[in-house]
Amino acid sequence: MEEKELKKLPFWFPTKRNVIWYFLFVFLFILSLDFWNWGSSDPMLFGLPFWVYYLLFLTLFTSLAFYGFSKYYWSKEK
Amino acid sequence: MIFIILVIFYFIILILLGFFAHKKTKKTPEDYFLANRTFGPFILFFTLAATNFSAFTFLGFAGKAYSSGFGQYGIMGFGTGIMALMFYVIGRKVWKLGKEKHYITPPELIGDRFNSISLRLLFMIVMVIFTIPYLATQAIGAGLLIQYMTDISWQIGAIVTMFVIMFYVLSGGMKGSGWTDVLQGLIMIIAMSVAVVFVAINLGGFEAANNAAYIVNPELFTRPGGGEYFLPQIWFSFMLLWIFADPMFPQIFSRFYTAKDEKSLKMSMVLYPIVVSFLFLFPVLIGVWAHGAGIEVAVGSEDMVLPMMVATYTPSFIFAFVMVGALAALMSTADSQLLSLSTMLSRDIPINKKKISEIMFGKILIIILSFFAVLFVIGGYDPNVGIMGTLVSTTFSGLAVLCPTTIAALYWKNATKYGCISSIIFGEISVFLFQFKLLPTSGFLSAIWGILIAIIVLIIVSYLTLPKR
Repeated sequence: MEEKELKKLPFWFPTKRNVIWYFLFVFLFILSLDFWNWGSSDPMLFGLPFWVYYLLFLTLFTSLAFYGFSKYYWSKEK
Repeated sequence: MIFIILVIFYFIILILLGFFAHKKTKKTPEDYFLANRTFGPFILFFTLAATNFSAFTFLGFAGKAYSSGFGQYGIMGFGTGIMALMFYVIGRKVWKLGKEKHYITPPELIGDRFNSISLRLLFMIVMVIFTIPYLATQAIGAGLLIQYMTDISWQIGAIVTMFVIMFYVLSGGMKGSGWTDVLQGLIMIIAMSVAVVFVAINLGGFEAANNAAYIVNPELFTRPGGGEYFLPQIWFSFMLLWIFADPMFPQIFSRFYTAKDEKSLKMSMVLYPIVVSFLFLFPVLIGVWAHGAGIEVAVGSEDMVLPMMVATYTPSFIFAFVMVGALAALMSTADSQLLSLSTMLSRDIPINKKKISEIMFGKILIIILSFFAVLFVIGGYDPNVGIMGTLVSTTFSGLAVLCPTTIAALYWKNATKYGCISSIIFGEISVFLFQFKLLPTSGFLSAIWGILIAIIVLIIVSYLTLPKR
């Protein structure tokens, strides 16, 4: 895409450089809306329902995503 | 008795840290209010965490988990974790602009971007109005804790705590607040970890504690949970709310200015989800386990379930230490609020301060605000609403409405001051209308409607008032 065309895009619109991060964070947010787990506590592990572990690991994965973002995108930004 | 000794020891350390910070602080507004923008990764992370984790984290989470179940962990843990993305979206730009243009307060940046005193004042008024009840909530939490642990009335406990906070903020400014945040952050993390381990051991182990609670109240292990609270609309609302609300706390926003470099912000962003992933689970576990343990909590007093559990299932010295941890959580938030409120009031109100230095004016305001918070404590607390109810219904929604204006100020060149002013006014009015059910919420939090309306109004009015080229 030409630089002129890029400038016409709204500020929030994903660009070639950040599109992967954009969709990764939106995807993580969507994964947090785990409505498919509603009404269920099975399977249980150490007495805790699976969906609690799911949210715990999703939060930890968010940190990993932030690490990648800060290393490979943020650092290169002017 | 152990609690009183620990609290006195803890208060003395805080006062000494404030005194030491005073010695290291130059008499410039930038140093007093922003620690000369020198917070590295370690202090910045702890101050951002300790400032954000409050009475609500210790007492409110356990109380809500007691009534509604493990869903509380989801809306708080992941919601707060992903919020740290705003350290890049808002924090990085705020830090850069602050360094270039020597901004000290949030309204200063917003007002300067649009060259508008009215917008700067409006932004400040909203931040102040919605932060004072939150400050009072911290004092209330401290008072209730002290009353629970001693024979001292909660009003006296709240006043003494506010007095100690006032002292170290007055003397140490942002350095005092930041340094004490590190200590308080460490105490609260250790205290919560120790609490959950001891309670679990005394309930027969982690699995046994869960199983006992499940037998008594299985609905706490599923969603929508107790009282059918975690309906999909509420879940969605909370996941989104923290992203918009947390960076708009003046005490968080101001901390973006204090970063030494971008590395400090990056490190804070990466560490934030890690800490919340376990720290937020602990009070929720204790709140749910109370059912299996047979702890009965009166309606309206759910926020006291954590102290009751820790008192019953840990040795007295651990109980005392955990309660000091809860006190640390309250105080680290309150000191930051006090400093950010006084900074805004001393700098953003356009009055002639020729006869008095800006720092002195800020210090006078710290004293006035402390007394104001105490008056609020004594006069306006409704325990039936609970910490969660009080906060969500006022502070979070009211501040979240400022986020669209902030993002527009940082990124959108077509935004106008009229667009921002209208966005804030209509956003706040709509929060009020939805909050009091004058308009149907369809099950979502009023804050979500407020944010949506603020965005729509901002875009429409900005385009309508865009200067012709």
